[in-house]
Amino acid sequence: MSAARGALLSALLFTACSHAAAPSPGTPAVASSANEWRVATQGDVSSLSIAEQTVSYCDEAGFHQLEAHTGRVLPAGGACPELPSAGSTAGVTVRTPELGPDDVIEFDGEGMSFPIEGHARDWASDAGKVVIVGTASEVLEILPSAGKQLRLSGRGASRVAVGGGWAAWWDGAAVIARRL
Amino acid sequence: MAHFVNSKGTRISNAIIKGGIDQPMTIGVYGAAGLSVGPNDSSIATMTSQGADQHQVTWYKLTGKRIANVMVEAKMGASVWDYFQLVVGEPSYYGPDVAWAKKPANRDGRYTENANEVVTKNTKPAPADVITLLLGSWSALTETGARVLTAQFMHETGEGVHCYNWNLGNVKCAEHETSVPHMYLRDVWERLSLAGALQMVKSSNGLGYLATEEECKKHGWTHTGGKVIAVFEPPSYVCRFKAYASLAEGAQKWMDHHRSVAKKFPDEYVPTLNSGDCTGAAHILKRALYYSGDEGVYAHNMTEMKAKIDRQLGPAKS
Repeated sequence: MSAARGALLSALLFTACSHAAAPSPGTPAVASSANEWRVATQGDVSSLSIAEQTVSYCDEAGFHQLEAHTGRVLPAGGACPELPSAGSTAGVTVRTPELGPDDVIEFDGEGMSFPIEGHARDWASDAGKVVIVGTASEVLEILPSAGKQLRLSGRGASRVAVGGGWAAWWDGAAVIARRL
Repeated sequence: MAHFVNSKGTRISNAIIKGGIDQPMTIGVYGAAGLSVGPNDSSIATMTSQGADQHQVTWYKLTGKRIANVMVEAKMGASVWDYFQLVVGEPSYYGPDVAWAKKPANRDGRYTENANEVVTKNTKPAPADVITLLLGSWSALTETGARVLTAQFMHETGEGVHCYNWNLGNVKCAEHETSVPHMYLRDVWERLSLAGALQMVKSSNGLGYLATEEECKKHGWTHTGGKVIAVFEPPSYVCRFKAYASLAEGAQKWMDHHRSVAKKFPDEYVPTLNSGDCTGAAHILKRALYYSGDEGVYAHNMTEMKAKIDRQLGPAKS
């Protein structure tokens, strides 16, 4: 069975049992498209990062890792280690003009600002080339040099990470990894 | 004499108080020492002590469990010293009382025990100091140019009235970002869909609520298109902003960004600033998406601020 078919089967199983626990180590995460994986979480996610195409996160069940290019949940478990940075926030400034309802994202060396709707909850930058921003109602990908702003999700996220061509976020119920 | 008070300290003896299922509210008892305090039917509501303050008020978290009425009493033995009636209904998330965990700052002026939290202090920069800072670090600017940029800053911060801990422009901390010097600001508001706002308020641990129409009018919080206003209070992470030690430190990002705007518009921005043209500067900043409000209003306000600075400091030397 191809990886795509395996992922599709997992997705169907997940749909049939929407309260399923996080996939066991060694099994594929649920794919919602060819370039996106979704892993159910338990309780709050306290940290989220991407390094070498591996998404690492900690929830109330402990430490977890997801291999982004295969969608495979790696054997991990146990106590949560000190995770590498979710993507630096250095070089990114988020401000709330006049303490209003919306934020503005700015980047060192870029003369353009990127107004967003609502307040940013979390943000992560991959060397300033791409920045992921989570708000209460969406997840955005900002490409400062191209002056572009894309919507990755219509659901909010309070944890985001970026690196190695992948973005990841936690929407309150699952960690989602998306190829950029 | 012992008596019940609400979260604002107002006496509520014999009153009828409304609450929602699973929605904690803060109740206090003045002079509670030696008394037993709680609802007379624990299947309708529960009450847990949060400790006493320096004004002899012991605070409690009172939470409705099912739709019913219950008497909440402060008793010594069988003798009831004070009481009120709690009417437990469906939960409502409107109004500041919903933010049951909202509290004034601690005695030291901070809201948390985090060593990086700084007491929120108004730091109103003098225009002359901002101009000196600009001239000392940006050689391309003339004094006139520095005054135009200072006018922009003064407009953005309401003449410095809304500038705290030298944070020019309200630079934020991310949700997990507590390892840098930071402060908390009150009444941070956001326009959200009702579903999104409810989710945020429910997950705010008692630090968020939905604004009533009366509050929206009072604060000038506008909302259209079916959206509602969610409000958050310290120490919610939504209210966490960076704190800087000095004007020079706080102004760095602001100045760097304007230098980047100058690089983006190399033939326009600095010459426009140096010519004293507030309307032109407002137009370039609009193109740089620096602000989303009305360009005419922004230009008008910058022009007014510049005139005020000129009156205060006299004619510019360059």
